[in-house]
Amino acid sequence: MSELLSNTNIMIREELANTIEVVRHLLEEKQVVLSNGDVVPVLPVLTCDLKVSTVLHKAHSQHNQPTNTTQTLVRVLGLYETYRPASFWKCPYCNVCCNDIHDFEKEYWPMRTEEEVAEDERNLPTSAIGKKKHASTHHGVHAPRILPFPRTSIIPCFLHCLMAIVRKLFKLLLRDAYLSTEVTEAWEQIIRDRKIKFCSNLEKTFADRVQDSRWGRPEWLAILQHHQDFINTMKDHAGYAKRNHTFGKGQVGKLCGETNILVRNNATRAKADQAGAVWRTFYELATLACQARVQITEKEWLLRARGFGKLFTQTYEARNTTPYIHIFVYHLGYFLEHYHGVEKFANYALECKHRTNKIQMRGGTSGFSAGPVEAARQQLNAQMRIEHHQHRQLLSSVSRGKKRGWAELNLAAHPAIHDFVVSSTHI
Amino acid sequence: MRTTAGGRGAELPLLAYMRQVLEQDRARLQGGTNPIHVKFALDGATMTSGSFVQEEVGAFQYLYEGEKLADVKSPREAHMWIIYIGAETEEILRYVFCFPGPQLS
Repeated sequence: MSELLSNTNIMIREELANTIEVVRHLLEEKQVVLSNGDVVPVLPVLTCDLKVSTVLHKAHSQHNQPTNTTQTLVRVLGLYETYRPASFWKCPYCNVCCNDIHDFEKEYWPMRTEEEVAEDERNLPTSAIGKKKHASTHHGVHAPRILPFPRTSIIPCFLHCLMAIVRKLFKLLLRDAYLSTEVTEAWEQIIRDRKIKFCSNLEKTFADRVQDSRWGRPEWLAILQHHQDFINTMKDHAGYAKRNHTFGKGQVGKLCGETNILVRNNATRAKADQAGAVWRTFYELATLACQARVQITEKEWLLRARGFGKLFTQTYEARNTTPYIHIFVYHLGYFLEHYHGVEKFANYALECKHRTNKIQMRGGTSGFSAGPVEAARQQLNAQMRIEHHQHRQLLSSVSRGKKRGWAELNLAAHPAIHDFVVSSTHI
Repeated sequence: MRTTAGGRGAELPLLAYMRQVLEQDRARLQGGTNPIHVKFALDGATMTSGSFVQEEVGAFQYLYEGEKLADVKSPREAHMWIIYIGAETEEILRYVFCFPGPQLS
């Protein structure tokens, strides 16, 4: 598999060969010269989701074939893996390892400098095994990075970061409720009251139904906004929750990414209170990071975010700390201070574009019948025509056009962080 | 428009495209001297439900100071300059390595 991973890195490098030159030029010159000679200063940044780069897909797992290659940040930075539970190096931004990722007592994790990156990329071996060994001793680096952005110009995609953390917190809450009938029935009612789509297959467990509902950003935002309702229900049924079935490794384990869950009936009010504090702290910070323009120093962010991190590790086991939580606590502050917000950099526009791409692929191109290159070319052509048409429309219109509802939804600033918000609507 | 250097997709000349968008957006520059953030993003998307073909899409976006956050999130703001077929399975990866596809004029 490691050979395939390095091949993937080579493939991206080949595809982006022309892009690499332009990005290098922009990073050096920091300007675009227009056709009339005007110079427009620009600051290039990169935003990618920190998603799994290669996972074993269920259908192909017996053949050990990696699928679903969302080759984004990890591949672009030439890192081997930073996302798996078994990975040693855990963060693409700093050198935190699996032994320290849950330690929120540490005041600061400095980002990898250009010198450190260059040092890690020096003397890279050519063999697959050699690269893997190199990665284990050189902070996860197994190939030269593809795009030469410094870490300070790579902004975490808050769209994915927020969803990943809320999902994690909800799964842990679900685990702590032990899927008792009373709690899950009450939760289902809350979900229905909030008009969150929910899998209606009653034969499945609540946990499986959550999984099958495939919640997106609006759903997770609604869960976060109404977290107190879930916590209160848990408190109401604490101590005498009945289990509606026995659990094996399957349901809860699958949901929480754990394999050995001991089923016990000790959901207490104290536990619910602790969980409530974790959610409350996260909610405050998330509403700040969601704002269009903020004014907060990295130090002030760290002070608050580490508080969330400490509460998290006091409430849950250390192994539940994910790279996203680490990035949220230790690295988001830098970008909030230097770029005055991260929400504007999140990949909403591109994610929304996928829908248009799929429609074009289905109805506006000849598909893959003439080969993948032709399909890509036709898609780009169609996009250029649409852009040209939209530009003409915009000239005679004040509106910037239709937006996607799911992307427009946002959290209102919490009163506790109101002082740091400059604007909720304008970047 | 040209085939990507790796031969698995198509791309527009990035710098020329960026220049063109800036010229179209001249009114939004507001004559400011502050540098404009230009965001590059790469993201994968599955294009077909059945055959599991995944594309990798590269897009750039200018973030003009003082713009509405809602406008920034609009898909109109993302300008795709590259689309190539990402490796989904070992077979597809092998296929794209062996058959790099036709060259475009």
